[in-house]
Amino acid sequence: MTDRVVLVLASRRDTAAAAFAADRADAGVRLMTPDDLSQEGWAFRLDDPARGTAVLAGQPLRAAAIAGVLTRLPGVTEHDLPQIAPDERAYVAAEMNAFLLAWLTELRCPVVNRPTPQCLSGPPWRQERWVLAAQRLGVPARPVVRRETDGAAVADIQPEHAVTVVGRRHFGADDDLLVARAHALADAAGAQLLTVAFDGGGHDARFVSASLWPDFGDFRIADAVLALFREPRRRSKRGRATQ
Amino acid sequence: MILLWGAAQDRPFAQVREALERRGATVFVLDQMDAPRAQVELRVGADVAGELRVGEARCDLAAISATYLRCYDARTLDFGPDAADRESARRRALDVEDVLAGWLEVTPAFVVNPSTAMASNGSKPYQLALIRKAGFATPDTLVSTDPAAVKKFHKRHREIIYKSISGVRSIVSRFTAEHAERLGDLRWCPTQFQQYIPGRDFRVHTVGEEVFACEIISEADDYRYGARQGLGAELRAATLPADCAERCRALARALGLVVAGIDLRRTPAGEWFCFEVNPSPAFSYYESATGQPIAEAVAGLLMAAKAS
Repeated sequence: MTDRVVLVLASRRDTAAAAFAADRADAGVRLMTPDDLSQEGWAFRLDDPARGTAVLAGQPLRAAAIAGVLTRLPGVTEHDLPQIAPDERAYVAAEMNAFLLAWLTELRCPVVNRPTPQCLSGPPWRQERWVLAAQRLGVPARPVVRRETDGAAVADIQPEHAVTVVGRRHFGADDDLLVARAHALADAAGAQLLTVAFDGGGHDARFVSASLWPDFGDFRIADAVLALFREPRRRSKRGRATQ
Repeated sequence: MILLWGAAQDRPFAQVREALERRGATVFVLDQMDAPRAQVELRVGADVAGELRVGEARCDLAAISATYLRCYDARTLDFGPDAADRESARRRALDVEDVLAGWLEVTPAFVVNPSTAMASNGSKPYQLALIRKAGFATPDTLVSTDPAAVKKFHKRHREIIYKSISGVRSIVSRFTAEHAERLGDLRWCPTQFQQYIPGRDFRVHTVGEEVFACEIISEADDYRYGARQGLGAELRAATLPADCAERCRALARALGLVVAGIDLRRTPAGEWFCFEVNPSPAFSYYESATGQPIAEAVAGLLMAAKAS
């Protein structure tokens, strides 16, 4: 693995991603931020993406040298682009987002989570959609009531009732039912990496919220993501490993 | 009930509304300029319910069978002369739209077009890969910050164009010697270059299974902005070869677009290239030039829809 790199695509402000990349540098983990897109040398051919070249820390990086990408960056914002003239930041942010979507989508290596046109980190479901999906999967969920005067409510996540799904593995709450429900929601959304929060344990526990950005302060989760990049790519039935 | 959500003064929006009213459809209109005084409540549990109110008019969200969207970015709309009032109105409009965007994600109503499907147009190379998978020829495309790679690409194709990667400032321009001198600026942001494809432009609107093709005769690099080059455009109704028309239907289906504006070019050799697919096409420009009943087709589709 050390001859190929795992990219952690993140904002320059994502300190957890930076800390993880620094700690696992020996394993080939490297942090990539929007700064790296303002470097000479990128070349992405739509008809032959495998022969493309990225740029990391000023050095060319062949697509074939990328073992996997962890997408911690939902999208490039103006705040990620101090190197760009202020009047151009909104435009450049839109351009970089559009480029990253195409580039990540065409990479042949594993990308976790796969980007979608509305979010580079995976399925950009709103709370309403998570709740409806949970209900349809038979998972009790707190109803959502929204009005134009409310603003978007952010639910508190209680770590003891949260499950982080990483592929077929999981971390967090030691409750088989919550684990099964978290995996079901991740599968429904097509997310390999997802934290699902509930308001308690057991059969009556209700879905509260889901996040595509698990706590990377817990390196066990980040290491499990790295393991996804080492696994042979297969489509087998779930074989879960409990933590 | 059919919900129309957009700017009342927008021509395609107005034409769809007029067509629905001619057909006697029950329509609720949310004009974006009225959004600051709208009230909306959305409830999502086992079912999706809620209510949208504009003044005295009320709309039961659960009763909506279909909706047509042609919204502008509310941040760019002018909500009045007073700066403080304008900003307050804009914030309120954005809050209303945010709740409705949540409703769009979960409603069983027939949506023209779903936001997830519309989003593919936000990245031209991403969408181009999907277009290619649907069977259309696409121009050779390079996205780069590398002047040497661009020079090589230019040399290979002799004539190339550049355009935005995103949907912002999306104007096609021919790459010239003057641009070659400024390639050093590329390093700041990836830029998209494409092989120039000679030929005749066609705009194809697909509305469900219906196909309306329009041939465009223009010498401009981008006929939509021909006036900037002092060049006009002549538009006329056209008929596509059956296989090309079917490919257009299949492409729109693959992208999840019920209504689409597909940009094609037929080369002198008769090959059909596709450049992009507009998920919210301003079809009135083409309809007024050709007389093609596109708005009527959209109205028919909305009226035929049954909530899923």
